[in-house]
Amino acid sequence: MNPVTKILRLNWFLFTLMAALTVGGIFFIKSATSYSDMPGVHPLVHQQEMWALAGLAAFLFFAWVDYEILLRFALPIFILSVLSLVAVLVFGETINGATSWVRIGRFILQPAEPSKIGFILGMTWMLLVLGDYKKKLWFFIVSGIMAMLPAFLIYKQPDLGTALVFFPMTFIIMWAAGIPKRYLLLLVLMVGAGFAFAYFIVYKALWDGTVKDLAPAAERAAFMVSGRQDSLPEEQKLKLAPPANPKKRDPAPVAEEQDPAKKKKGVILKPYQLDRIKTFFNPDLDPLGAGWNIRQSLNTIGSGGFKGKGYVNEYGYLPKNIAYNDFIFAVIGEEVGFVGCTLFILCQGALIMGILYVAGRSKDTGGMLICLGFAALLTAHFFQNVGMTINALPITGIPLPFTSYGGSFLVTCMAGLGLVQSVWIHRKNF
Amino acid sequence: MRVRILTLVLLAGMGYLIWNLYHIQVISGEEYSSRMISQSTTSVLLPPARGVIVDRNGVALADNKASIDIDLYLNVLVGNYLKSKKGKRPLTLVPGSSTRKMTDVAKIVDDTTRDAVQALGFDMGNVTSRDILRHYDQKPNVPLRIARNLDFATLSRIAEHNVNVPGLEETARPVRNYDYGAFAAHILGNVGKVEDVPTDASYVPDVIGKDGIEKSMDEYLQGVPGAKILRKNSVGYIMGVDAIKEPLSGGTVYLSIDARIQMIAEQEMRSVGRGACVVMDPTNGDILAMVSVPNFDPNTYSSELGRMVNDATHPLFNRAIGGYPVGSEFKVVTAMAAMKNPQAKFGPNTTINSPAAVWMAGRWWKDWDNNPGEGDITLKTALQWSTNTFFYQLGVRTGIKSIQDMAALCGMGRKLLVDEDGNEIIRGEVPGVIPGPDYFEAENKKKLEAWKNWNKANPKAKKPYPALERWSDGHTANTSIGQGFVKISPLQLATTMSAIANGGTVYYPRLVLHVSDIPDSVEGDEKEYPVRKLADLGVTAEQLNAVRQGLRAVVAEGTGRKAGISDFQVAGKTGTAQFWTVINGVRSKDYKTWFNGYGPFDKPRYVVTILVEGGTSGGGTCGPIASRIFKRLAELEKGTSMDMPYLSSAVGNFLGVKADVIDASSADDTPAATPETPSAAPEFSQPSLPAGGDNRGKPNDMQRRTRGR
Repeated sequence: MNPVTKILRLNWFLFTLMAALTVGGIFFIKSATSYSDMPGVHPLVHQQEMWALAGLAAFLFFAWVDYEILLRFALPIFILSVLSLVAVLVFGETINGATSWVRIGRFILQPAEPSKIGFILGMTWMLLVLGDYKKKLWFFIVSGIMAMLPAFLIYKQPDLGTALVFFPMTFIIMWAAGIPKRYLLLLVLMVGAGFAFAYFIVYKALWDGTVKDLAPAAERAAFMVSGRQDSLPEEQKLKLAPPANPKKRDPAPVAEEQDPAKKKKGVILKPYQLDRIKTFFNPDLDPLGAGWNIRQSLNTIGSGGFKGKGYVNEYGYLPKNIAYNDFIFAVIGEEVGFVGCTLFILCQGALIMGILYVAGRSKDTGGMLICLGFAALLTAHFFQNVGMTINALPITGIPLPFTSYGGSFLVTCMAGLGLVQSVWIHRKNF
Repeated sequence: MRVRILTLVLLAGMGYLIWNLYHIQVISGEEYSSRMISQSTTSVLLPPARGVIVDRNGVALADNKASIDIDLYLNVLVGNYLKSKKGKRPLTLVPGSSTRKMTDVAKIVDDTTRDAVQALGFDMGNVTSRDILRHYDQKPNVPLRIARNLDFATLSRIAEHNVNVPGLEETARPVRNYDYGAFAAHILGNVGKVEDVPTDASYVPDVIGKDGIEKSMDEYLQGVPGAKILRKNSVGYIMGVDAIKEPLSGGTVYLSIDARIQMIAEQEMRSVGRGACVVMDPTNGDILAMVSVPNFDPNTYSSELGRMVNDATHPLFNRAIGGYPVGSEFKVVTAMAAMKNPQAKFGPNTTINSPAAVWMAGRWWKDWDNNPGEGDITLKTALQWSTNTFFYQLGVRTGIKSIQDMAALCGMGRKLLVDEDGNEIIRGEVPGVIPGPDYFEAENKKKLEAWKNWNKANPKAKKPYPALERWSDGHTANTSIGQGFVKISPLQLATTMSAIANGGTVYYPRLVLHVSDIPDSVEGDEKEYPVRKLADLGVTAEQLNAVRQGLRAVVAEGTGRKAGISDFQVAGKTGTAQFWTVINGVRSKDYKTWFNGYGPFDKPRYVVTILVEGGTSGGGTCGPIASRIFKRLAELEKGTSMDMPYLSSAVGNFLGVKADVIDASSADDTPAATPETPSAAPEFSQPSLPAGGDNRGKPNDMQRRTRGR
């Protein structure tokens, strides 16, 4: 079949939304970087435009290629993804304390993002190949390990936010594939326990106004959580623990936990992660320190009001090195107000619902799982990102699909949507 | 089915987000907006122009001129540099830090402004690259001043070359300017940087008054600062002006000084090394001129301060309000006290036998040297020839209490340049001393206290009991001719002479007429300083007339003949106080010579008081100066125009001061000094200053001798 005629059969609704979100993103990135004097910030818009073109190419490629062919190579793709994550840890560049980037020529890539597509393909492949055993516990464990592998490697970078995205993806794909509910319940419990851990131990016990000086307490909490779990098993004893001995604390021991809840949340929480949890529960606790980002984000969004202040009308009070990526939604909120934000949310939601629609119309389980996995990916990013800017979720620093600055993620998203388009295009056998 | 569930969950999630956004943006939007505004605006204070000090006719004595400075807006320079270099920024370490890096602004400044700076030929002065880095690190949005007070040549080069370096700008800044240089410097004072900045100060002016009128009237001169509300972003870049409130310049201070008369006095007093001159309007006490030499140029005060502090002639000291022995000038006070006190039984026509020496309080009191004696003379003659023996006797007859009372009525022994609330108009006025028994008591108490404290501090060594002093007729006699412990300021003498000239009303000397409102300010800051009466002399017109006739005789044919002019009749009194001072370790003769007079005699308009330190005699040294001043005042009244040049600092000297040699060879130049007389009386405690007789210029002495014989 003629590739052009084939491409013309794609889902134009999804394509339009994708184009709108991407182009809009470029505009807001331009606005967000217009006042900064950070070196190399102004060319970001052009870089994003280049990445968008590259993403478009990836989109067309994946839309054109039959996803069943891709599924055939799913295992090598998945293994390649995992290897790329290992390579990052070995050869990667460290920026802002996280070893998440590899430099290839002029480009700096973040392999964690394409690995999500690799994971979706790999997971789908396994559920298709070993589908007969999906009721078995060992299958659940094996697929769990398969999900844990990239998540753990990303977590080691460390990039907790991106690592956590694997859980909703895994959950949705497993749920859609028909994994028994009791197992899934276990997954839900893990997340619930993680939240409870954050709230009751980290926030209530250590931060709830009873500890005035936050920095040493944060260190102590980090020590308690990471250091000597065996000798300090209970919550009550944690509170009575002697002050940390810094020499004993280093190096942070690798987790070997029985408690799955702690495993899920990330056993070794860094002090900044504790701070984020704390400021999520009370943004005014430390307005100039850890609460700065969330306060500025709320101020920025809130000041946008109903109609917004208009394009390129921001004071740049958002942290200038994240305004154009993780906090792009705050920029949108300020400039186009509640009306624009609602429109934006509707666009993002419509895009995801469009993917769900494609999932429902797919010709086989594989296509459906791919679509649902990708929908879960977008949903997780979308809700987490918007949620953190309006203080509905803790700050984890993951980008907004199609809109945030970031080449790797943009190309990943477009490639993923290409996969969805492929499912759409190939829903009928030609 | 599962897809539908997922869709519902998704819709619920979207609803949750929108609901949250509604709360943040629509319900609480105002609050977040105000938070945003409060952190995104900054106010910049606009300093007001300092008020102007003018003379009684509105001639500006201290105003502001524009100083053209070159400012570097570092953030603009950096921004343009990065634009041209496509974002490549040179980095360097923050000064004082070994790890923190910053943009190498010094290099950028060098790269972008080197050509312009060279073309314009101005000096970057002492702005080092370290200064630039530090400035940029600490306050990137405050311009860095790299050159100040550019000269005209540089300014015209800037205009010609039209240097177009964005971020390099010239700025006009008001600086204090004293129009006539070293002119009324001790009155105007000077301005300087604020030293003790209160930590809670919201506004610190560029300069504040440090001395003189600048200090005492500072609150009126300061004005009200304006403000600009600037919008900035998180890194401090100014993005626009939200609001502006113009500053209100300070009020105008009107002095009683007449700039022309001040200029006359300044110019005439330059001929002496150390001295003071007060010209006063006797009808209301307005100070028309007040000069102290040596002086300084307030425009160059800070650069010359070091030299002035080390100058032994003390250019910073305002001699017009300092305390000095006044010698025979005090005789008018003694005369008025005697006439007022009925017990003295002294009237205008009372004669007192005044021989060459009188025996009083156990010793001989001589008149000026070799004086053969006057015989029976009245007050007029005694004033005319300044006969010491006359006033010794008269003083003792009157009693020290009456003399002290009269001196107090004349404003002596107290500060005169104060407003109704007792605030000093000029800092540093010396109240002076009119000695009496009370003065000795206080002195004795101090001596005893010091002695006790010394003994307490040094228990082993014993200090002899201090010599306490007791008031005697000798002291009264000495005080009657203004010697001994008497300390009076030129301003107080002018005040006294004004009262004599105007018929007996003592006015407070007035230096500030009024302070005008700060223009445009709602709250008026206007303040009037009305003419204030200090006292009435309490002598009859007949008695006062006797004094005035005596003063007229002094200038007409007595000791002060050199003060006379042809335009109108001048009356006055000469004085020479013998004074020894230690200069460079040598006890030296440093006479304080005086002329204190008024004119015209029949309708007094000017009182002129002149002090010359290190002079020869009142008539010989001060008389000619007074004459020239009166002459120029008369010309001024006739409408003669006069130049008002810019004056350089008058430099002080010790000319006229001689090492202490009391011998016959110098007798020609030396006024009648009788140091051996008081010291010959052992029971008579020696005043700190040797008592002395009157003194006249040499020609007068000669004439006197002839006449006496």
